[in-house]
Amino acid sequence: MRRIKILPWAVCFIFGLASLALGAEYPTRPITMINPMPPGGTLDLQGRAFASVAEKILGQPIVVVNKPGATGMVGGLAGAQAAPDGYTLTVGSVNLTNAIEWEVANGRNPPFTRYDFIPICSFTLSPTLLIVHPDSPWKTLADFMKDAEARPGQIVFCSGGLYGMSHLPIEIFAKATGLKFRHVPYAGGGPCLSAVVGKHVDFGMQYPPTSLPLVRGNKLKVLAVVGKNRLKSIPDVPCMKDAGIDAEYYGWVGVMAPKKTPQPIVDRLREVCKKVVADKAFIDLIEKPGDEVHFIPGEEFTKYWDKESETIAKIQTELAREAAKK
Amino acid sequence: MSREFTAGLIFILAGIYGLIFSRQLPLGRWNEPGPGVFPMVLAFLLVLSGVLMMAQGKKGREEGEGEQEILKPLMAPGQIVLLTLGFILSLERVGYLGTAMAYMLLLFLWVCRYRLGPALGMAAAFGLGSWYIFVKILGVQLPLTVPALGL
Amino acid sequence: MDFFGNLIGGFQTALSLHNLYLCFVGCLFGTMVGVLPGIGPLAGISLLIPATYGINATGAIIMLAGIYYGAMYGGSTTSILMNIPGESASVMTCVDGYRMTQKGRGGAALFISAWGSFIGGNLSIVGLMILAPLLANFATRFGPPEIFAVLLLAFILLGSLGQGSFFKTMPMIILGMFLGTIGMDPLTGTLRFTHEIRDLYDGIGFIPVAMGVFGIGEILSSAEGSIIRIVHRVKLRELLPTRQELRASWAPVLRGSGLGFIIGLLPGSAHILSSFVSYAVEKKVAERPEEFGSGRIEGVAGPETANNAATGGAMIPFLGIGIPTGPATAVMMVALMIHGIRPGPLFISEQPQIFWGLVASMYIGNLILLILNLPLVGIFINLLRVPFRILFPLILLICLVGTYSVSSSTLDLIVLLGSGILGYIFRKLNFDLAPFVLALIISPLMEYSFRQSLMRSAGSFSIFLSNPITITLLGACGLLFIWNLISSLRPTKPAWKKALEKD
Repeated sequence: MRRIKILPWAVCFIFGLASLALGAEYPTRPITMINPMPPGGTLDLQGRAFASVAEKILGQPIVVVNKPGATGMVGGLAGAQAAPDGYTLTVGSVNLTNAIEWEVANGRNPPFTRYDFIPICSFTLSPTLLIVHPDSPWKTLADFMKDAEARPGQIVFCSGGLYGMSHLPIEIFAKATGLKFRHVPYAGGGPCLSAVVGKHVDFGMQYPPTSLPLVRGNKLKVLAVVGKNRLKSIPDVPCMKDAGIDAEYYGWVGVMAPKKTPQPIVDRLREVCKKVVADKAFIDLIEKPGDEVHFIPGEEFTKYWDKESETIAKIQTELAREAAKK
Repeated sequence: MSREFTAGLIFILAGIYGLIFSRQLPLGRWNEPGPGVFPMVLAFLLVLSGVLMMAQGKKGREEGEGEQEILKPLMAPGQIVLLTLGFILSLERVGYLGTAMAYMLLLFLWVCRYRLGPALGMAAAFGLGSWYIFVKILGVQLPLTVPALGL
Repeated sequence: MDFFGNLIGGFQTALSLHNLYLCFVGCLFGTMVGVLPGIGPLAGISLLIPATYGINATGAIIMLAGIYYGAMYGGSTTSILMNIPGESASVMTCVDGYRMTQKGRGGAALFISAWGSFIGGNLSIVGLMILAPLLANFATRFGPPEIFAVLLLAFILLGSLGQGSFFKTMPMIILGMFLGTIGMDPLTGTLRFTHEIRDLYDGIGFIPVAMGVFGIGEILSSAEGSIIRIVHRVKLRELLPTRQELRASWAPVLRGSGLGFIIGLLPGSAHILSSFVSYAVEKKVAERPEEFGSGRIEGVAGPETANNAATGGAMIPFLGIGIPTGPATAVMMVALMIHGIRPGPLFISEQPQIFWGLVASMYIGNLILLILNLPLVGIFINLLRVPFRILFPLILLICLVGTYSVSSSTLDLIVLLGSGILGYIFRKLNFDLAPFVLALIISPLMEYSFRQSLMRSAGSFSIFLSNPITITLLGACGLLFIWNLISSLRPTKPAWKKALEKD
């Protein structure tokens, strides 16, 4: 009789031990990665590229799920509030910073902040490209700027979302040069690209992976790279620094985990990230569309994020002030 | 109360709700229409159509049905609504397998008037079968009743 | 011309065992995804992208495209048999399709919907093949004012979809539009009508509302009667359409193919638009339009063909210049990019084997789907033999799980139940539900385009009359509206009088 009674206890004990041991062998089931932007954009492409290489290293599938809404707020919130067990990650990007700082600049409490996330790493840091239709009258950046000076507020641009990663670079450019433009927000980078191709707007600032194929096919022209350096894939296009304009904006894409994720899991993920960015398949996936891999490991990313938040906070505050005046 | 009258009432109520809450939204200007414009216009149209409908309803009054007869057929739908509400509220607390089986059981017993035996059998069958298909085969993320065992 | 050579080459690619297998898997998965309410083609495609990592680019896109149009086939099954739209494009099919099932003609409806989808799909692929380079740019000519004009026209057409008069359907449409504004305004980020409920930030989802209004509303309605009811005995003869039904269907199918293809080119929710525009057109063209809503085969044949034809049209801007016009094609584009292919204007000329292989596999896919779906008709119809009082709890469970699987949100389940109650109430009040649900889906885009247009033009309304496309569309809107006004004020002739006049 006694023996039989011990059995259930033994079973529980073993289960308990097993689950403790299982904890050390993260991951034991598929991981979800939330993409806060609509499907088909840069985040989708680069997030999925990361997932495809990382899941081989981790041994568990990584499923990218789109949760679009309000230029990244909806998905960002979902990611920040996810269970901190390492099974729900977020495809982070500069859009998170944009969204957070916009709320702050308007005197509202943002639904989440960068402190709600633990950065695992970031793997791209792309400047935007100033794109126009090939038939447009401007042949160079200088032409464009001269025209903009002559007709303030009449040249129209599109963005992928208000105060998002394709709107802010334009505002930075406008402030640095004192030029004025008119803004029409679109729902994402794709529709904005379509608008420039279709001549519904005069220009836009979009990212290399989605713009360069259209450039190659002669549907778009790049007037400038909004950053400190030229791009390897389009060496003839000047960058803002060449033109003497102090305007730069970088869209980074990376992976984030919710803030209370246990350190061993964070470390494992960071390790995986280091391996992914060195993997040739991943590099190909990023560089073939025309982008460049730029790795910032999680430990150093916090510093970068702080600096970036400061810069963006400044812009958003100014924009908010102007919006309030209207 | 004719059909149009009731419908009109519903529309008016929805419209009033809309008008109240869209006043808080910024209207913007012509060259930058704000988020309040559309809801306000729609709410206004709702109230308008509600009023028109109520007026029409009052004109062509249909034969009033006996109160009792209106209530009796509502029993079964009402029970279904109640049970479904119960399912919804317990899903995340009790987990899928448990909630689904209880839900099926109560539906079969109470609404469909099966006897206990068949009701239990079908509830178990449907509960387990659906759990197997949804959770195991399709991999849908559902709250689990006994997470440690993956149930 | 290289045309036929390319096509034959394409078939060679598509008929390889490997690609055939992938096509089959895609179609099968797509059908399942379409049949299961809740998961739509978008989710299905996203879910399977990781599965394509080990395959080459051609195979990957063949499989993903298979899911895309497979879902269109599958979505009609639950719509016709259970009045639950499997996904948004199937909402219109519910209206007459389910009535046909109730009259015992469900098998015929499924059969014709499968055939219609097949023909529509194939015709639109022909269009894709021949016209892709020419039409690719057409989609980019549609800016915000044009989109707004198209949607306004669609809304007025929506008003004529109901069984009642235009002015009785309009309030339902307005209610749907109003509910569509709930959530975070995409243009400014302002929260509308969310009352601090986080789950509402994204608005009220289409899936809980559609499943609730149609599926649960129907169940609640049926529950009023005796639950222990006589079960309809299904005979084999009833699985197949009658000669009369077949004859009545071919015109709607042809019209639906053309309509669907053209609408598929436009940005936005092409499938939904094409399905209900087709329904509206069929209703206008029919001899006895007042019968629509009670089980006319044209009301099934047209929309089902149109939504399949729209997939062909929708692939054109994506394959032709590399700009996806809807979420499903956007995901396919990402899938291609992950395989190192950059769809762009040079795609067709630089990657002919992928393009033509895809085109060929679409034909094959349509064939596979037809073969898959036809026998399934018999199986599904037999499911209906199960007495209602055993079946409906299962349907309730499927609706609940389907909704929960999309967003894991209890709020969505409450929306589901609430919509069910709403659907039940409005059913009793004799109001039409399809326009309500469709308005809910489409109105956000309409509002967005309207505001965008005004921002573009700095407040000037002349932007809506700035080019031939908008002028034509808005003119059509005006005409249609006036026509509806006149016909609702004129008393309608009763059916018997019309029959007399025919002699």
